[in-house]
Amino acid sequence: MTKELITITPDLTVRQAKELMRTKEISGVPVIDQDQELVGIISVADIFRAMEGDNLDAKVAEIMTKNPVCLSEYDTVGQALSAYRQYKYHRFPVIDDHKKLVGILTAGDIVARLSQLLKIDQVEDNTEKKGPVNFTTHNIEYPIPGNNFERAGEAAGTIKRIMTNLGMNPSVIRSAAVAAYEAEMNVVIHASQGLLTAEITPEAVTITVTDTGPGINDISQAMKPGYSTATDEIRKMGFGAGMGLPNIKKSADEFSIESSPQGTILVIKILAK
Amino acid sequence: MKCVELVKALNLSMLTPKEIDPNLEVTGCYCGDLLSYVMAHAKAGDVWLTIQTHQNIVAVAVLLNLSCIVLVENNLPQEETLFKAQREGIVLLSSSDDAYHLSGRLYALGLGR
Repeated sequence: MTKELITITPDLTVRQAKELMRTKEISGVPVIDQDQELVGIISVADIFRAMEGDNLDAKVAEIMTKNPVCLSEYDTVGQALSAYRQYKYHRFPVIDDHKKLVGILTAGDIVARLSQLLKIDQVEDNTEKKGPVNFTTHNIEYPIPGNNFERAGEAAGTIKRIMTNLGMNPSVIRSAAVAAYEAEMNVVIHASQGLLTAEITPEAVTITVTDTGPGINDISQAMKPGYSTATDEIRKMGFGAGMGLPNIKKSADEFSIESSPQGTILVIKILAK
Repeated sequence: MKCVELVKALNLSMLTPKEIDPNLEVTGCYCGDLLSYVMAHAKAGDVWLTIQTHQNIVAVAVLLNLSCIVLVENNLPQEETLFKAQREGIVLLSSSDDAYHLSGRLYALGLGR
C-alpha cells in the first residue's frame, strides 16, 4: 500500500479538492478529521457530480462517500483481492485498530504484489545452487482459485521448491509437499477461492490454508479415510479419494481445522527435525 | 536401474522429453490412479504407472520427485499435460501394456522388494 498519503479535511471546498487532485494527478483522496480518523473518501466521480450540479463551493463533507469500505492493516493480499473483486472500487483506505488511516491500497498495489510473488517463483525456478541452511524466515502467500485444475499444485510446488533451495531435510520437504498439495486440492475441488500462506523457519514449516466456503459439514466424517463429497466428474480425474485430510493429518506434527459455511481454516505445522 | 534402460526393456514410447537424461535413476515403482494414494505412498525415484492423463499428474510427480510417469494402456496425455511435463522437466512415457503386466515386468527387472 501507499503510506505517503495525500489527505484532505471535510471542511475544504470541492473546488480545493479538485485542484489538489488535478495538481497531484490522483483520482481519489481519503478525507480525515483532526484525529486522523477516516471519515470518508472522495473520487473524481464525486467531483464530476458536484460540477454537474454546479456545486463546486460546497464542502467536501457534503459530497464525499461516507463510511467507505476499508481494509485493515492486517488483511492479506488475498483478502484485498476479494474486496477488490466484490466492490470493484479502485482504491481502499487501510485503517488500524483505532480507525486511524495508515495507508491506501490501489488495484495497482495488488497487481504489483502479485507480480512480485510470481517473480519470486521464477527466481526459485531458475536457481540451481542450494541456499544457506541457516536462514531466518521465509513467508509465502499464494492465492488458490477454486475449480482451477490448471494451476492446482502450484502453491505446494512453490513451498517445495523454496524448501529444497534452502537445503532442508527431504523427509520434511515431502511432508510439507503432501500436506500443502492436499490442502490446496481441497480448495480447488470444494471452495470458491482460498489462500495458502506458509512460514518456513529452520525449526518448522507452518502452512495455513483458508477459503471462503462453503465449509465442511461434518469434520469428523471428513477426517475418515475414504469419506468424500467430491462429484463423479472430479473422481474420474483421480481426485476425491477421501484421503485428503487423513493425508494432511499423517504428514503434520500439529494440525487444526475449523470450518463454518463462511469458510475453512486449516493450520498445518511440520517440525524440521 | 536407469530410466533409459527401462524405456528400452519395456519398449515404452517417449512422449517428452526427446532425450532422457542418461543419469536419471529409477529406484522403485508405484501403480495407482487415485492421486491422494499416490501422494501418500509413491516415493522419490519411483516410476509411476497410471491411466490419468490430465496435467495434475505432473504436479504430483514434481512434488514427490518421481523419476518418470508411464501412461498405461495407450493412454495419451492431454496437450496441457505434455506442455507442463516439458516445462517441469518430467519424463512422460506411454505403454500399450496395462498396469498389471507392466508392474510384473518391472518386478522381474529387479524393482520389486
